[in-house]
Amino acid sequence: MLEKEWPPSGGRLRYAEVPWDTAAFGFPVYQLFVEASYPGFSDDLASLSAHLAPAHDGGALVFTKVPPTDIELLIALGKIGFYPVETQIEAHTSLADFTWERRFEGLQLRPATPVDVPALLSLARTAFRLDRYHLDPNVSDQQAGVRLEKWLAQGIERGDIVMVFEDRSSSKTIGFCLLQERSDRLVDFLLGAVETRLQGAGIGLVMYGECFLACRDSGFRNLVTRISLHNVDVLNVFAELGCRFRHPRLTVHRFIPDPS
Amino acid sequence: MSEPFHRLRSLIAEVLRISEGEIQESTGQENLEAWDSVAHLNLMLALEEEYAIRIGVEEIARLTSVPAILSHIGAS
Repeated sequence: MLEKEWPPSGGRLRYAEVPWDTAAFGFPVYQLFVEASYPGFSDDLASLSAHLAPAHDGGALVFTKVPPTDIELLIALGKIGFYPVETQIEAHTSLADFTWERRFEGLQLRPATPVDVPALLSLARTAFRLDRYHLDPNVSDQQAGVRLEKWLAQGIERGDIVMVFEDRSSSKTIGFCLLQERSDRLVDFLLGAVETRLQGAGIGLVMYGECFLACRDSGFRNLVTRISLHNVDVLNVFAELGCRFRHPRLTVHRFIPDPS
Repeated sequence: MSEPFHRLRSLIAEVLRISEGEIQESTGQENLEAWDSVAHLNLMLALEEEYAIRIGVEEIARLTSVPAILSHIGAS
């Protein structure tokens, strides 16, 4: 993403277009980078919104991720039309002593192959319901699904770690894990899901447990991910797997309608 | 109440760490707060061991109530 300053040449606000979200939605999506409010923040925010609004047909969506305890900042964002959509929390754990023994004979996690890609993309498009774009009434479910499908496709293209969770009795793909290697034997769990009709039955616990084990066996020592607080089932799963939680971030959106 | 129900109720209570009195013949995941997704998975593993049966992925998703489990055990 190409970050810009606002006002141009030395302004304290920074923003960038998010090209993958723009491509998925068909209207521009921008991320604001804001750490704290400052004198003149509301004015800068208002002028930036005005700058972004009329330039595009079909409206635009601006979002930012802020500490949920910075109420002053949230009030300033709320005054100009930002609304809360999601609080994410970072989950992290050491894999050094991780063990996993709750196995079902018919379920298998394995590295993805090119043959798996269509089923994986279909899962990514349909398996999520509680992420911030699925919850935002200004984005359709179809658009939100396409975004996650593209996210997974990009991960596959750049060589991220992709694991397939398979029901061996039917050879059917029922889940996936997308992970990225970070520095110092840290793995970042970017995206994961099980098929919608199997959600809520603990099957994700088996998949994530197998995934943690595979990461440990691959030499990773630590794992980090981000989970929506709306997704209580997944929070419980990651707590069950030994994760601890830190760094909550509230995402707020503002949809700027098409002026026409 | 039947003997199969008593046996199952005892197992569910142990896995979910609740009293047997909280479990009725119509109890299901939707009306018992302790029966969350993690508890459900643990219950499925306990069923495999207690009844010496194999539970497939379709059954894991389907066996979310006492009647469904009793029916499955009876058919196994």
